[in-house]
Amino acid sequence: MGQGPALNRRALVAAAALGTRLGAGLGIGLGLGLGVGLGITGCTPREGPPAPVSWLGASFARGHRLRAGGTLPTPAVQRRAAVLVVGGGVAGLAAARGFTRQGVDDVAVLELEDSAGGNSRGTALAGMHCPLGAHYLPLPSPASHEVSDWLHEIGLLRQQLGRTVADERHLCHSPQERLFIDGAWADGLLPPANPASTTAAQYQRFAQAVRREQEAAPQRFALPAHRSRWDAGLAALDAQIFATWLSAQGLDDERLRWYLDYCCRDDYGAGLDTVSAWAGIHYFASRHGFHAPGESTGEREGVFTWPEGNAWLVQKLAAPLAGRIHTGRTVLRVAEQRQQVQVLAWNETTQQAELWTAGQVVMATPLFVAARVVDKPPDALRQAAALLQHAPWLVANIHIDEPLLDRPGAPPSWDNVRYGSTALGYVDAMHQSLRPFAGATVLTAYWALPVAERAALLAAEAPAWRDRVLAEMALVHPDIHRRTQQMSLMRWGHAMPIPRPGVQGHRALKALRAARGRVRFAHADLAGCSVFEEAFTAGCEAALR
Amino acid sequence: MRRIVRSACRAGCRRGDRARLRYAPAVSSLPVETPAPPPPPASAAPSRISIGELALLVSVFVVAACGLVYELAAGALASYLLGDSVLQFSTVIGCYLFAMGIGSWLSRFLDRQLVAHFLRIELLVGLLGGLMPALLFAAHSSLPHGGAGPPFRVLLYGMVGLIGLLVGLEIPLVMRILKRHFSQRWALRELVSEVLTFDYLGALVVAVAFPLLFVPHLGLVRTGVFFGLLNAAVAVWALFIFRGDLRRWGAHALACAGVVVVLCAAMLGADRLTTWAEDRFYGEDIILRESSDYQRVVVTASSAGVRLFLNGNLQFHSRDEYRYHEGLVHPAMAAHGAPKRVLVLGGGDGLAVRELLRYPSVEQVTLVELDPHMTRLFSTNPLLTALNHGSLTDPRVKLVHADAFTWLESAPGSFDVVIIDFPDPTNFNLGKLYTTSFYQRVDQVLAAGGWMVVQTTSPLVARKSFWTVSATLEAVGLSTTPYHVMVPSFGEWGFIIAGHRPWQPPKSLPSGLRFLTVEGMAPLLQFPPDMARVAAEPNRLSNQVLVTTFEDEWGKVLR
Repeated sequence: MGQGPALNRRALVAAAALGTRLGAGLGIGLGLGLGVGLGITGCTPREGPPAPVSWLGASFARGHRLRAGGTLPTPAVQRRAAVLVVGGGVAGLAAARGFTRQGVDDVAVLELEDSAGGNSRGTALAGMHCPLGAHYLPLPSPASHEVSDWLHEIGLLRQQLGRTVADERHLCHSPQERLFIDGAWADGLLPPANPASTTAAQYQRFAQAVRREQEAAPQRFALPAHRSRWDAGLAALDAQIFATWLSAQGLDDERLRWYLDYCCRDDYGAGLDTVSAWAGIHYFASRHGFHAPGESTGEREGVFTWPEGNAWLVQKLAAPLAGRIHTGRTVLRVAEQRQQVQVLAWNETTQQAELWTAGQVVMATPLFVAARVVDKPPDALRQAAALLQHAPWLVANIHIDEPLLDRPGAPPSWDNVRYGSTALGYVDAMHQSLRPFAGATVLTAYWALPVAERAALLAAEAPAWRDRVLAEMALVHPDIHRRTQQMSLMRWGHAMPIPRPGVQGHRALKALRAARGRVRFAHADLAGCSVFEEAFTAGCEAALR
Repeated sequence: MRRIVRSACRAGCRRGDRARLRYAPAVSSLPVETPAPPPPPASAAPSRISIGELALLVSVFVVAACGLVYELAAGALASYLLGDSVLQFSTVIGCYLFAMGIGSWLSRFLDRQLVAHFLRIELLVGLLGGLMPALLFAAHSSLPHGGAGPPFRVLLYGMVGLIGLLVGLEIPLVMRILKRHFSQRWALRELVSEVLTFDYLGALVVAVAFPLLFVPHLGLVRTGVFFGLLNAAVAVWALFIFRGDLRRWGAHALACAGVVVVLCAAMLGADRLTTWAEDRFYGEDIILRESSDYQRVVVTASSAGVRLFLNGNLQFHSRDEYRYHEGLVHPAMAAHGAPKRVLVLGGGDGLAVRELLRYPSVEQVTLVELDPHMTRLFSTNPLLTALNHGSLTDPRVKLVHADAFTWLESAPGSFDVVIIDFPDPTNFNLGKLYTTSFYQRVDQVLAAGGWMVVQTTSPLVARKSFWTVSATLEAVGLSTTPYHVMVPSFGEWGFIIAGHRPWQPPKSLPSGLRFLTVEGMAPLLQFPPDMARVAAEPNRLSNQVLVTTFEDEWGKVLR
């Protein structure tokens, strides 16, 4: 109802007459008026036991069994399917969906974990859904028409008077992003820059450079990337490291560099010293471009997001395939024969080996896994597996019982990042909720780790990582320790391929994508970067006859 | 203010201005009692001050501080309670200084047992001064006509005079005690200088600490009591130092203990007193003050009426809420023809429901309110049910405690009229209830030919916010009819009717309305140039432009 007068003289009087309880002790403690000290009553954090924490997800032991080698078990069960999809991530589910849409009903998906979804899985903490990995999907570009069609099918997109309209309920609500910089929160993730500063000038120059590359020829930076028109210029970009290219352009501003590094780590799992210049530019050029502050950008491009992240999408994808997805199956061997493909899988529940026979197999696993299980792997697969490096990730879900005390500036947003941090910030799982008040929530902190830290990630105890994650958060939120009720940590040993120089244009990846035999390949690895659109498209293409 | 007066005194002691009133009698009385010996030679002057002297000088400091606090407290209280702070401060300070002058003059008549007198005066000042703010608050609240009547002013100036008189006695007495006990040490000139130095120091410390430290943190009542305790502490200190000189030491000790006990009790009871005084002081009882999971609910009542505050924002005043609720409900309801099923979102006070139940055609009213606390309050509290005519316990009313957005996803059936009466979009959480997504949901439960009506803040104060809501409703394909109603407690207030059927003014209205008439509808639809439509972007979940606009516009008014 109404907004009343907020203050009046009488309210001031009451405040003066009542004073605050806080001050009572202070004043009495002052003594005989001999000293007037300005006491500051600081809150002391509640000393209690640290919040409980645990690792999540199926044990890595299942996957690492493949590494150990040894003799294969004798199958106890024989099963048959027209099409067998190995791997139930986004690519595998999209492939299975593709086959069923073409009338192939007898499709089976074998998934190592206990639930499908791969990187796009979610969980719940204290009754609130939260992501374990991928957590948003930008509005699809025209090149990813398979994704677009599917989003229409599930109602996220619809046509209205000839325009594509997104379901606002699932678009990321405002306020979307903020950056903690210079002691306050700033709106958006691009560090603010004084219009007259060199930072602003370099923002402009980088924006121009991206536009130049984008406009040099049509369709140069499509998403999915293999639909781009490859040319010598792109090959040259793909041959060098992003940082080198930036230096060659004279782009050395600290804030610009930090922002670009952040973007690369966020999307590719590695910074601008590792990824190729092609990847660095593709990040912007394949979507909305790079907009320096003050440039007219129109409306900010929307992204879909959900409390449980892309697990919401996976659930939509998996629901029609119910009964066809077999979880807890570790595929040990894929052998192509003249008329069929035999797949030996270990059922983790019954602890038995199963021998599947299928007319066709789609390998929707990371390529390094495919290279281990496919019998007599083709040269292209061996080369591709050797080519790709995967970044390890840590995803920490933190249940807090009340909103955190906030610093000045932009209000709590969906994505919250600290400038200069090597972590990737955190998202608020309850941001998309429609509750009319702020309350308990789950914050999901993301860390893309250097490849060198993979062993440490595997060996470390959960409390050590809890402390590290909370220490980073505490730099901006000193009350995080007090508010944290419990945490769950997800470690991804091989979260995503890093698009290092030479990956994008590599022949082996093209060859695998084009494979049309009894064993096909569908995975984001084929694109050299782990993005929903890439995985989904790869799955759809593998299902085409 | 006081500092200026005193500085003038320092300079003016020679010139003989009015400030001299304060000290001149005391100083002039000194030779009468103990003729000043000739000043000792400079070499005989002690280089160090003994503990006893220091203690006395510290008590001068404390006494001065207390004296100033009572003066400031009286001035502050008078301006709080009576208004017109310039007049109040001037008269209170004038009266106080004058009384101090009388006190100084009277000090000449005290010539024996100076320490005992000093002790008694300290205790009296502590007791009277310390309890003065509390007494004045209480008196202001309980006297007939409050502070406006003469009795309160008599009490105020009486207390100010009495305390001023006692404080005026203090310093001359201290000087004489010092003089008597340490006369061999100091010349009169040095003595006056020392005493006044500490006097002014105490005044300075308090003048700074009073507004910055004491009032904000302790409150006036506790500040008074605190300084009363300091006065009592000086008395106790004197009791200890001069234990050898005092006759009937036991009686003095008992008096000290009594005062300290009373003041300590006042310190502990200050909270209760201020709460009670605050209630009385507002001229209205805070009849209810509770915190639910979602908000702070305060209901006040006075002869003028009942007011509801949520999180400090006024929600209605019973004096004029009929204008708001008639304006909210009847244009859509009466124009509809035969509304049967009505949905109310927000509005747990049941006042909109009261208006709805005037229609015999209404079969069911569904009220969706987030806070069960609100509906419980407004269905059980007799004062509040008298306001909403017990509408929430009417058999036709169905209460749902849920967040409206979530509830709409699984809302049963459709509604002929939907009344949307949410708090203003002051933050991003509330802003969600004013988005295209939300109105789409509402549209889905709206029957064919039905209307929704949205309370839409003030088109005068928050003009762009008002038209943003209009643009938002239009963006989901609804046609809108904005109108406005003057509600004195809120100002010019806006509403928007939206639906697929164009709205026509009603031909008749229910009987018993106090504000709306059929003829009176037309002017409500007119928007003069200062409220006329401005271009605005629809408010979406993904941009929430309304919250920013609303903050800007109301921020300008409230700042």
